[in-house]
Amino acid sequence: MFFIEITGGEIFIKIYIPETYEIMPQKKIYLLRAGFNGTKFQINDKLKEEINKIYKLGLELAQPKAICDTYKIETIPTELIPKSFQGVNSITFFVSTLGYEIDNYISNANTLSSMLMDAWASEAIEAFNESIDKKLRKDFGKGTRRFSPGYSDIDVRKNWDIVSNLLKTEIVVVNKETGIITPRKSTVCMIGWYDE
Amino acid sequence: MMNRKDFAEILNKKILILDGGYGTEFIKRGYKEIPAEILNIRYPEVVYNLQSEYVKSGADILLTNTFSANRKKLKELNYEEAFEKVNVKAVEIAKQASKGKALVFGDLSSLGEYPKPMGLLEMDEAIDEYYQQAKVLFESGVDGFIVETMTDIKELKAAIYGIRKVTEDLPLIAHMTFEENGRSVTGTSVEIFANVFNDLDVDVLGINCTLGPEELLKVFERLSLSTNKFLSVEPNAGKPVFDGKHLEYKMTPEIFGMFVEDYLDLGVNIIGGCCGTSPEHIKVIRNMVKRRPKKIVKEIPIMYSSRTILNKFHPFTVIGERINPAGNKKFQNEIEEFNFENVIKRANSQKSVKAQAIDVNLGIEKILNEEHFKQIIIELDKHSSLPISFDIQNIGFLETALKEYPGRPIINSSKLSKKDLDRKLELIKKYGGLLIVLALEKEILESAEERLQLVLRKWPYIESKGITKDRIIVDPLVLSLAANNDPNITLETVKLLSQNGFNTTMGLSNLSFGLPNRNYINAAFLSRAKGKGLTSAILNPEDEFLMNTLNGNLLLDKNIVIPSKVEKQDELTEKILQGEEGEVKRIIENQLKEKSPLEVSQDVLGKAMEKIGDLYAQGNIYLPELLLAAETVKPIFDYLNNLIPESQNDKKAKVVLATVEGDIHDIGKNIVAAVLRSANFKIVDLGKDVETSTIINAVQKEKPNILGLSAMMTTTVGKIEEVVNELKKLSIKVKVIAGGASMNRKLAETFGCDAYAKDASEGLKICKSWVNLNS
Repeated sequence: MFFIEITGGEIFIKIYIPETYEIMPQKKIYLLRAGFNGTKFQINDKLKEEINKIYKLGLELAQPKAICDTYKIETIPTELIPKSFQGVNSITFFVSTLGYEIDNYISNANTLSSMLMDAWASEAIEAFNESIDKKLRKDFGKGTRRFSPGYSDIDVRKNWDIVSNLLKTEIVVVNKETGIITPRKSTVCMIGWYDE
Repeated sequence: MMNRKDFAEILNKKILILDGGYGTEFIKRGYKEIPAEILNIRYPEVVYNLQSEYVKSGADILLTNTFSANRKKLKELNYEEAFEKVNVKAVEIAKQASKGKALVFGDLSSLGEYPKPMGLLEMDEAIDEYYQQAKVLFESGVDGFIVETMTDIKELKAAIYGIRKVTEDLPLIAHMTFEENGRSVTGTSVEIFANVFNDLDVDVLGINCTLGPEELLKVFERLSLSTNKFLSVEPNAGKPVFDGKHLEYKMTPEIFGMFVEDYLDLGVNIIGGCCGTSPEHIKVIRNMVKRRPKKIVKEIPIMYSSRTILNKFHPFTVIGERINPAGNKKFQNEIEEFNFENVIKRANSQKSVKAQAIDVNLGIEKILNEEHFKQIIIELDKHSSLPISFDIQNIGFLETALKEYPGRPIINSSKLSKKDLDRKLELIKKYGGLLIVLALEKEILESAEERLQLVLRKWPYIESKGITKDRIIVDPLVLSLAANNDPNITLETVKLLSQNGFNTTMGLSNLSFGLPNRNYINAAFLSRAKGKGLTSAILNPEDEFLMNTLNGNLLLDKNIVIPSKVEKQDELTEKILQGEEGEVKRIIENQLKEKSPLEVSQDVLGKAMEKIGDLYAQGNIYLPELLLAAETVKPIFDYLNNLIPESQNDKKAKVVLATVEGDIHDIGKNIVAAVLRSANFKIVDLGKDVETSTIINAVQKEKPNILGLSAMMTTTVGKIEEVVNELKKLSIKVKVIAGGASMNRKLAETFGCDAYAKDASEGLKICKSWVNLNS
């Protein structure tokens, strides 16, 4: 569901709590990430059970949430704007997370389970971002590709600036020195918009 | 209206979503006192709202709310007079709710009473009931039909015959419902369902109800392997939970949705939900379908079946000849008087000597009527007979018998004259099955070549009727030796037919009529014919000599595997890979009776794990399989270690592992630890976010052969260089291997590491090359 804030007649999304299915990754991709590269062999029943168990558990443990805000280009510090965003009029920044429970599980389970959960959650956050991405494009029209600090010309440590100075949220914590975000299954993203 | 060709085209391109539950949803919405179908006329808005929600959730096909709206069921509910109205209204509501965005399929299901022998209903009555309902639905403008939740294969056949009597132009989906063991409650397996319906005029085969998506998956896989028709599935929302008052289905849409992709992998074309599923479930299913249908073409062997028995035609089919009262007056009289005791006895005795099918030839057709044929099929079905080969001359009687038959029959036989062929081909098209054709049009041809040419000449005509070669068996004609016929002509014909890709059969006993020692002659001839490629014969399976001769031939052709006592290679490795901890423990306990704990740990369990490590390193198993193996043996290693004196237990190569300071995520490093442990390394794991000084202290204390360092972020990767520099400064000799998301070969070199590994598999290879584990 959306919590919509209205400021000066402009509508933007503030907090976004998705429907559970929006964070459901394709099993194929989850398995690929877990190391089942290709379909060379049959997966044995015990592992199939484990794979499904983790998927179910992931859905139970995940507390997905996103904070989202859109800024006119002139109000954004230039060091936060990727070169590839040239020509955009505004940028939506969002931070998405699956919460701490998944981290706790990964830290405390056996290697197989934690590895599977890690793979599942990586793809779940991706599915979540994909869902946010789709919704934003519906509202804002033509935009850039989704971008995260740490790629191309934006340093990963800029995560801190975006979370603390722009979005001003505490749903995640960023280490200013390393750019590492906790909970682990969280991302900071931005999409630039060309339309007025 | 949707024609079948268009429908097939859509299914080739796109996975369609069916709607979800009706009955359970109506109950949830407060309508449990009124039959679901009656809502169509009493509260049409309730049906309309639910169907609108299904369309909104993304359903491509809406089913009319007519599941139990056949006349028979409505009569039981005292609503017989509303029969037509309920069905007409159902189509009207669904069409309105679809708003042109979804197809509307007429929904039919069980009549509440099975056809004989499982129930008391006559097959013709059952067909007529379905015909009546299908007619109303068709005239109201449905786009297609679905018959679902069928537990009796004969009733499903009745439904298909009834619908196809109304129209041959609309798509038709046929579903059965199965228990977890893959059999319906009336004993039909999934494979038999497919075997029978592969021949029939339906577009899609599927399964619904009874099981949730998880349990249904294995059953569905069996269906998928048994048919090349389009596939559909509608699982329940898990297993029903009974709270003492009502049945509830509690599986959430998301958990249900988790299995959608597994069905896509098996080639499903249409997917929806059954009991307990709601518009929310359909919404999630829609969301999980993100690809085009997977086309899997299966090689399906030629098979034939009864209700409960399915047999492969190859390498050789023995059709028992003993239900034939020719020359046996007493037997003839019994049949005439509807006393089928002897028929059943002969069917059972042939089954017990391993015949695969039974030929039913009553011979005395002039004094029998349709009822005899109907009853005999019902009786045999009741006694779960072998599949039947129908040796019936009168075309009307033959059709009666075929209509009554639940399985996939063999029809014995047709001449190659146009008239006979037309009638028989029409029958197998309508009722399914294999057809034996005689290499004969009017007169018997003299030479093998002529017989072959006749078959080849007629073949295009058979093919033009849509019949493939795997449904035809050719009889080269066996004539009596006593009448001076040359048996070699038959043998030669078998050879020529086989060379031209035809399956063959023959009435073996014809050969030796009137001769002494018939079984010797028959056996010798069968041997020769088998050598020429014969694939089947109608013979006396109770002739032990003959059957042994046949089995000897099959053995020579390598078609029978001699049971051997070769032990399965390395049971221990197998059990570890399957994650069967209890079994592994059992094997280890047995080993402990003869070996010391140290020997078992190193030479048995250690070796098995080493083998598994090698399998992984060579890319023959996946990483999760290796981890499962590691988890499986961990408690057993612990158990063995407790039995080994400390002094004996320290001979492994040692690796210290750490994720460097700043990195708080160490799943990769943990995987490396598990992989190395499984290859018999001793691991000292310092954890994550470990300061350089802590790593150095640990190396000084543990004196490992190898130090493994992991860094994930570009901002922490420099810590690896810090550790290496510190080691150099202190002149500590240890091989350093680095890995992690932000590391690469070039960086590792720059930092002065001895090696870089991109993943655990590479890490294992490098560590093994550095350490001679056997020293």
